[in-house]
Amino acid sequence: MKKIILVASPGGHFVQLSLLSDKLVGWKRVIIGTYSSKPSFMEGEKYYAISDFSRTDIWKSLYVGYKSFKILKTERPSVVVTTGAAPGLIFSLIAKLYGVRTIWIDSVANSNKLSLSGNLAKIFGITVLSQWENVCEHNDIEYHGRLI
Amino acid sequence: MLFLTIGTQLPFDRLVGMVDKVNSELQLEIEAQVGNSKISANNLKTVSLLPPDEMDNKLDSCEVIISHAGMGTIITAIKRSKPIIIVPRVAALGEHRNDHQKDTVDSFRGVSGVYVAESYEELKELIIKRRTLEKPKGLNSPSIQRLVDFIAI
Repeated sequence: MKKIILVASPGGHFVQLSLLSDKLVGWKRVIIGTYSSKPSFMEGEKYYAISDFSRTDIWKSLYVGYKSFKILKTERPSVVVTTGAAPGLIFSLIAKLYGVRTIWIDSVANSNKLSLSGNLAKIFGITVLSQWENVCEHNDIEYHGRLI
Repeated sequence: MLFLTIGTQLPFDRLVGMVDKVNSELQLEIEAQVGNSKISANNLKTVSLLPPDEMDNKLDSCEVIISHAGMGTIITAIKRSKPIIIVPRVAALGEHRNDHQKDTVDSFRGVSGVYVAESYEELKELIIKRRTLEKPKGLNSPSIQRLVDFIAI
């Protein structure tokens, strides 16, 4: 069975990710979020909680990075997908360094330009997708559909 | 029938009050799950908390859902192809611990079938236009399948 790691910040990011998870029946879905336990609307076989952080408490990224590495080492997924934001970026960077196929799906909220984190992900060589064709065109990235 | 839900955890007097005020004029059939909101609503059929099965029935039978910007309700509306009007809780008004619902509404702005109201006027206008609101496209669109296929390569 193919294993996928799905990781996102709470709120809209996580909701969008849950729509994807619903469609991945037949995969082993390892979910990573910042909720203390997995919300019921998110389908998945396993759950890990990590700390949320943003630009104002960026030091937490070190801890998230360490935890991401440990999870990747344990789970050895074939794909990692994130819908952002900051913790998703750290996790996807570590996954990329670890040699796992890593996909960043920029939030549907970003209808005119790529998010800052999405841009950083792109710079680091992560496969970045936008859910808006116009944003894909402007950023020279491929369009592969959308979650909503 | 329009159905208002404010979630199960915290009161949301401002939203209940706004919908009640709109309906004092429009006199529509609006049912509401108001949790522990304190405000009295004379123009809504209110209940504190519905059992899950009844909640499902209401969500199925209503024309439009009006809701706080809670993820659970938004997902439910999208899955059932019900137009939903969402109003974010504001931390400064004591409606939630933080402003993550503001982020949630920003994420859903422009998504088909999901409508954002951040003021009384916006809410009223959407309720007046209720019959012309689009249904969410649901979760079986070809575009999500395309994304799943790309991930599964």
